[in-house]
Amino acid sequence: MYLPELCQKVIAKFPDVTVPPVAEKTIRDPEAMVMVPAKTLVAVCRFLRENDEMAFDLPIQMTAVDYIKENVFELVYYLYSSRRKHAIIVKSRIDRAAAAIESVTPIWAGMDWQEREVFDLMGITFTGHPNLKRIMMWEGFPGFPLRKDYVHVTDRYDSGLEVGTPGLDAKGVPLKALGITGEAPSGH
Amino acid sequence: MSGNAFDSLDKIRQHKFPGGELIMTSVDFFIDWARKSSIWPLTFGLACCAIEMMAAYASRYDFDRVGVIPRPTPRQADLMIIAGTVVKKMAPAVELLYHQMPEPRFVISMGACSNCGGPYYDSYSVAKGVDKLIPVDIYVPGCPPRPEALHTAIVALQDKIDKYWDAGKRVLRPEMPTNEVLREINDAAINARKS
Repeated sequence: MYLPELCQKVIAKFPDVTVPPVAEKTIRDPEAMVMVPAKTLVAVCRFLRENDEMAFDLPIQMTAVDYIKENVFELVYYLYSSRRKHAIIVKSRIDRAAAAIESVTPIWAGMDWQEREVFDLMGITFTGHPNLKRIMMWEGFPGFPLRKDYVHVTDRYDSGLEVGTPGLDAKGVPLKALGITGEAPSGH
Repeated sequence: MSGNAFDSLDKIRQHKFPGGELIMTSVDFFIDWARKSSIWPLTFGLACCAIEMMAAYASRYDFDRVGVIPRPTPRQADLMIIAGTVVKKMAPAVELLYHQMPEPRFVISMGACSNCGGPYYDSYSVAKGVDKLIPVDIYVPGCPPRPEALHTAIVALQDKIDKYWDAGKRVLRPEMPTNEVLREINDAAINARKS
C-alpha cells in the first residue's frame, strides 16, 4: 500500500477515509490517493482546500468511471496545490442506481464544467451545482452515452447499420415500447 | 431558331472569330462558363480537413487562380465545402447555412468523416455522412485529403457545372429520399446482413 505523508494526514483527520490498493511497482510515479465515502466527500474537499498544510487550490480535473459489474460509479478528482507543489487523487464510490453526489463546485469553481461533463455523459447528478445541465450533448438527448449499458437510439443522421441493433435495447426490447424515441436536434 | 441550328450550336460554341474580339456562343454556355470560373465557397470548416482547405486557399496551392475565393457569408456563396466531421449538434447549423445559400448551390464533401462518418461511424454523436442532411455533388476521399485532392474536386465540380445545363434544358438532380424511404432501405440492409 502506498501511504505517503499526505494520505496519513487526511486519514488522521477523517478516520473513515481509506487508501485504495495501488500496485506501486507498476506505476512510475505513484501519486497520493485516498478513497473517501460519498457522505464525507465535501468535508474532505473543504479540508484539502482550506487547510494550510494541504492548500489544494488547483483542481486539475475530475472524471467518473463506470464499474458496471460492481454496480458502482467511481468519481475521481485530481487536485494540485500551486503553493505546496503537491498533488492528490480523491476517489469516491456511489451506487449506480442512485447516481448522485454532492457538488464540489462551491469549493473549486473550476469543477463547474467538469461536473457538467460527467453529468452529461455519465448521468451522475451533482446536488448543489449552480448550473447542472448538458454541456456537450444537446438538450433532449436520450440517455447518457458513456455509461456501459448505454444503448444508442438511431435518429435521422444515422445510417442504421452501426454496431448494435437499432431500435432495440440490450435485452432486445423495442425502444418504442419503452417510450424512447430517437430525436435528433431540431432545426433553428 | 430551328432545331437544326441548335444541333450545330455545339460546333460553333468555342469558335473564335479572326482577331478574337467576338465569341459567338449560347447564353447557357456563357452563364455556365462564368459560373464555373468563379466558384465562391463559404468560409466554413468543421475539423482537421479545414486545415487542408486553408492550405489550399493559401499561396502554395492558390485556389484563387481557378476563381475560388472564400466568402464570409452564405448569401454570396455558390459552394459549401464540408471540411470535417459533422456532429449531430452542428447538423442543424449546416442545414441552415446550406438553405441560406442562393441557388444554384453546390456541395463538396471533403474527407472520410463528412462522406460517411469515417472513423466515428459507431459514434453516438456524429452524423453518418453529410449527405444525410443535404445533397452532395462531389465526394473527396482521404483523411484528410491533400489540397491536390480538393483541387481535383474543384475541377470536377467545374466540369459538372459545365454540363449542368444541357442545350438550355436544366438537368435536375434527383430529390433526396425521405426518412421513411431511408429507414426501409436500412431495414432491408439489416435483414440482408442477418440472413
